[in-house]
Amino acid sequence: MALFFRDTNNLIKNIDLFIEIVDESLLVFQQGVTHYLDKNFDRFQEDIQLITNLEDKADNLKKDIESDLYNNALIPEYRGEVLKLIDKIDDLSDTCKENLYQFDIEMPKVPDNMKDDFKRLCDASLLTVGEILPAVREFFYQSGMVNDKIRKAYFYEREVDKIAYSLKRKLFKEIKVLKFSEKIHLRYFALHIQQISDIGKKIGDVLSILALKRNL
Amino acid sequence: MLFLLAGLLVGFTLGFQDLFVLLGAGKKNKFNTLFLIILMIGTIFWGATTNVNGPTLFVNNLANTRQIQVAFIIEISALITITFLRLRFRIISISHAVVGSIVGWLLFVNNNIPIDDLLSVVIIWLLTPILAGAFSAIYLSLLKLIMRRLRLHILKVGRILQILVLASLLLGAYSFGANNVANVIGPYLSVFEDSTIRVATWTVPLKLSLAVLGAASIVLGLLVRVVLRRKKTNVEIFEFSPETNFSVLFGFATVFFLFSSSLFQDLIGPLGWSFVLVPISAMHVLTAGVVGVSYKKGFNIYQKDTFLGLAIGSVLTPILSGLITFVSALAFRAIMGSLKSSNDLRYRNPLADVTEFFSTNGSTSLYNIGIIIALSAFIILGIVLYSGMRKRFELERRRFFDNKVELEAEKEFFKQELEYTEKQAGNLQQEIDFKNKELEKFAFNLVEKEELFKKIKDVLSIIKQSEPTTQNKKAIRALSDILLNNFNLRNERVNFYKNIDEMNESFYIRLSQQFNNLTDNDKRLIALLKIGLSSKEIASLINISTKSVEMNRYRLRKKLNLLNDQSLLEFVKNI
Repeated sequence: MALFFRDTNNLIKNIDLFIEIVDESLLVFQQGVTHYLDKNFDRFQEDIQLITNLEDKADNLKKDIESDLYNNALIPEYRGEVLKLIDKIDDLSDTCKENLYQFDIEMPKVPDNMKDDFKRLCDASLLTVGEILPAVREFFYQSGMVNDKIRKAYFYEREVDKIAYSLKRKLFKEIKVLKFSEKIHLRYFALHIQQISDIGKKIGDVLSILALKRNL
Repeated sequence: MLFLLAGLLVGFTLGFQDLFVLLGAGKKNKFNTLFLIILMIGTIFWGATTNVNGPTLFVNNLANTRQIQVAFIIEISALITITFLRLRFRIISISHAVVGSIVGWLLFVNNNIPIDDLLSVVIIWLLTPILAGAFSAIYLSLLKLIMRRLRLHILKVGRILQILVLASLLLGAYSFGANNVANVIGPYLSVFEDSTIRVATWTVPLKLSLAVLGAASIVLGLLVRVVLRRKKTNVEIFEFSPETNFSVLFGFATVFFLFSSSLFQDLIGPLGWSFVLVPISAMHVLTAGVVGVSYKKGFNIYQKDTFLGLAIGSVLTPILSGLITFVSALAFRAIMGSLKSSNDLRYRNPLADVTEFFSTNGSTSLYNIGIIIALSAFIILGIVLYSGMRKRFELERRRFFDNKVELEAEKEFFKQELEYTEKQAGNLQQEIDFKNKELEKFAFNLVEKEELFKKIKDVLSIIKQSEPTTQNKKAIRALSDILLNNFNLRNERVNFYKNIDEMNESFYIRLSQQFNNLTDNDKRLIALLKIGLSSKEIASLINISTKSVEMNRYRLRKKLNLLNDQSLLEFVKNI
């Protein structure tokens, strides 16, 4: 029996590890943003190093998963969607890494009274993907509860949009200490953080289709 | 050989149309096509050659002819019928056409038509799709239940299902061969009844050779279809999940195995049971399987007009086939004159023969059919009632959970929002407290400065009034200038008022909303009282006498409608 499932077990292990790594990348990203906003730059640099390593690992695992799925002719009915799902999940860790790099290179000037807004946006974005990744795990074992988690993630994604809107509004209407160019710069960072929840939503879309297909 | 060609063409059509549906289901699971075809060919040959005493015997006994021309007419009429009807209807059964052709022939020769046996066949034709639908739905439920209990990873489920689908496919191919070879060689069997042929050193009964030939024609049809790469099929089961695909295939295979396989009859024979082995429709059974699982899942894959087409096609096929046989036989006799107008053989009861072959205690097929119908009806009724209740329950549960999930998400999110708001409110409060303290300090500082300034001024006035020397005068003037320059409190006062006004912007709005008769000075006095300054300090700040401040306070009490025992200070702090 173990021999029969040998390839499958290896692939399952890789998929679980891949999701775990992306999950960790998200936490590092959240930590990195907090460290940046709190001007704790030493810790911020450590976060960048950590997220780079995690992203490398995720990329390697993604390649292994893709080739295993093709070579072993596993779940041919869902293969396309599962690969798309893996790809989107990988996008999450890529985006997190890119965002931290951009913070590092461009060093946006965040006024003290905007810090909490950025932290709040970041937390809400991660809340979205925080529901999506368990939904992905759940899908691989049982598709029944997936939709509930996706609904939650969609709700959070809508809230992230609202928070981002109020943040941008505050930035342009209330903050007087920044130049217009600095405001545009900050808006760009708000968009990047918001992008994480958007990717979460896209993963949710793929997952919904997969769950639907599994129930056909 | 030319007369045999009609039967082989029927076999070719079976392979080309019906068997390809099965192969497609296997290919969907990404098995190697060549491997799959080889396995299927093997099992088809196995099924066809080992079950000549099954449905083939039934068709042979029903046709009951020694004339190869008659067998030819039966087969060619069936072929014409299905070719013609498939132009209009998607699902047409070759078995229906062959049996219909035989009945047409029996009518032509004015022979006794075995009504009871035909009735049994019609019942089985009705029963097999129902059974297939029920089996498929039950298999799907069981599979889902097992998978849910085991909580296997989707990849493991996929691997297991690949094997299960392959097994179902092979069982289906075996049973398909066993059943459908009857349509190909059934009418010819009596023609070559006891003949044998020599293949190398072996003497092979011609019956067996015919079965091999029949299976070969089916396989050829399949291979041609594969080579032509025409993928569109009559029954679309390929877009289903592997679980559903397996359930449909296994439902199909089970029903076909029950009604086709001598192997199964051998197994249940000692128990005194027997199934009637008659040719049944692969397409109908497969379609019913799809309908069964669709019903179980709560959606309809086929529209009403499809069912109507299916019903019309099913009725029309045997009738048209019989009619064509009748006309063809008339034409054939008119041209060739070699067909006998009466039956040329002793009539043999087809079902009795088949049953006799397997049964050990003489139980009749009709009795068995009755049991099957009762059982099926019971199963179907149970499924329908259970599904109805479950659907309703599921719908309510879904609605409840949808609301619950959304509420949970909202709760969780608002909890986080509340934390943020509380944090922000805390920060703002800290800021306000800090600014208030600053203002307070600033005010005291200002008052102190004012007082100091006055004191120095007074001292200077005294000095001025005394006998001044020129040097003293100069020094006093210089001191006075320094004092005037350094103790210019106007700016500081303006700044102070500005800060007070900025700090109390929202407070002033609240005040105006509650008391619309307050002047700007009143509001400022309230703000100063709010930060805890005494009348003396206020007087010093706004450069009026303490008495005037007292008077202003009195007026303010009136405007605020305060009672005598009410403290102005307490009231102001609570606004």
